[in-house]
Amino acid sequence: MELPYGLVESILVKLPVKSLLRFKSVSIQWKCTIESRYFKEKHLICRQSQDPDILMIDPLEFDKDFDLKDENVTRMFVMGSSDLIKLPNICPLREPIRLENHGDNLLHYTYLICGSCDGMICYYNEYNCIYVVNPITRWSRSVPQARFQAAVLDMMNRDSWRGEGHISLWNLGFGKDKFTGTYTLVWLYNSFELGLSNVTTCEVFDFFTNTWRYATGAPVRILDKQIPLYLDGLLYWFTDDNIVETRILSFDIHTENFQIISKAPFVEAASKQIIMCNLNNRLCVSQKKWPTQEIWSLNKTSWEKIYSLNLQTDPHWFAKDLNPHIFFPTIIISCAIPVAVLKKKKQSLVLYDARANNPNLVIYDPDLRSYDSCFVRDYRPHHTGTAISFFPSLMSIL
Amino acid sequence: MSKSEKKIVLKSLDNEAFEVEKAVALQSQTIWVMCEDKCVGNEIPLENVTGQILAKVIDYCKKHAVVDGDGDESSEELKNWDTEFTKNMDQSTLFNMILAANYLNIKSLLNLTCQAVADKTKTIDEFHTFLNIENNFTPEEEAQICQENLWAFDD
Repeated sequence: MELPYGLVESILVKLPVKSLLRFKSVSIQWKCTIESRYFKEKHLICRQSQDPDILMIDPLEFDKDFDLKDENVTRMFVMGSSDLIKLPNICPLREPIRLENHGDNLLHYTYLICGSCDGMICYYNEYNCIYVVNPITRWSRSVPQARFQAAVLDMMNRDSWRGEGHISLWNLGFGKDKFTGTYTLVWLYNSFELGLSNVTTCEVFDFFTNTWRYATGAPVRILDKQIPLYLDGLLYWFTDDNIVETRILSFDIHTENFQIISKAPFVEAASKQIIMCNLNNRLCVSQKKWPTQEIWSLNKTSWEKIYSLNLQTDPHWFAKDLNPHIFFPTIIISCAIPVAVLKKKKQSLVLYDARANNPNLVIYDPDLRSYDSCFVRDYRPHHTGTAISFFPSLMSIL
Repeated sequence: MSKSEKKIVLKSLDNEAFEVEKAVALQSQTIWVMCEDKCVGNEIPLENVTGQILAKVIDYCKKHAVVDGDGDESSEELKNWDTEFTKNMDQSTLFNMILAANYLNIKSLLNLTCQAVADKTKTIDEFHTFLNIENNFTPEEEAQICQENLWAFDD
């Protein structure tokens, strides 16, 4: 007896990505199914109904003796297991950039990472490279240099930074047009520091034509060093206004309109120890005021405080301040990152703080108000990594 | 409502009769439509399901039926029950449960049994046996696909 093929498909969508890649060799029909966009989307939706897995990415990893051991180490933590799977490095090794008129001084950088979208993530630097990768299928695609990168590189060559103090950085956003299902990269940055007109400049990448183009920029300046958050067809940033309080700016990927959607539920954003995150498919903001960190969730138009954390733990899973000796402080987020909420475990919250003495994935139980470590990580003095929740998928962008 | 109206008789392929509460049976969309259309009496013949499988399906429906005053069952407990339910089923039972859940159109049961197969069947050979499918690739083609996805084959 044979199962009708529709039922076979119902089984296939429930399989992990690795098994599906293996099962392509079962038959021609299976291979066609597994490689179709329709199936990939169905598989992703099925996976999204469960708890996410967590990617732990260290663009630079140092061993106990402070030696640079491995570059761009990605590990996957499968929730509900104690496995930490080391994924292969699909990003090319870093090559320092030679600047003009700077003799032998080389420009070093580290990769920055966008949050995930449909199981894909984006590695890039502020000068010359961008890669979109699916860490599970090992698919990767290189994206041409954005005008922002060209402008920053040019300023590095001419030492012509116009902002105050250190060069500011604005991070790349990665998301999807909900209506057409097309993916896009959005680079939004303040214009003044780059000698451009208008308040902000917005670049949008089109994967079909493989080109960057300008879109109408946002009417307000945005905070630097923040990572734009993608959620449900929109990208979000914190605004930067010294007079008015910090607000939240949204960009609709389909209509390409910016909108100030809400006042953030806190008054002092001056410390900038704030972060946006996606918990349970809701927009959340979190602010740290040592020793506490609060997390607020946006429910239609009102903010609801969903967690209030005490970060003083033993062992020290969270750090009070930024360690001044750490390398590349620009990519380190200055509060504990709320990574995910686990449906399976009574709304437990997964947290990560890369700057802590013991950078561990930590699970917070809101009922017992207690913390537990997901896995014990060996001690590393310099840790620049981040943790992002993601749903392993078969997706790619062709 | 009289007692007889609340009960329904399901008759399997091998003529085994099961008397169940209507609320239990109506989780099957197929039965629901049959009752709605009044095309059957109080006895419903199910020509694609054996008594052995039907008994299991009814167990599942009883556990998942929303009966008045019996809604305290926590979703967590229900999930644990589901896990236990499919845990010891052999491949052929699971196979027939999928067919039955599909025929009777009980979405959650179909979901559960498909998930159980997905969790239990790990290797390509197991799938070949379970689904009785033939590999229609030439050895060269198969080798090439394996080569392209080589990393997925190492455990």
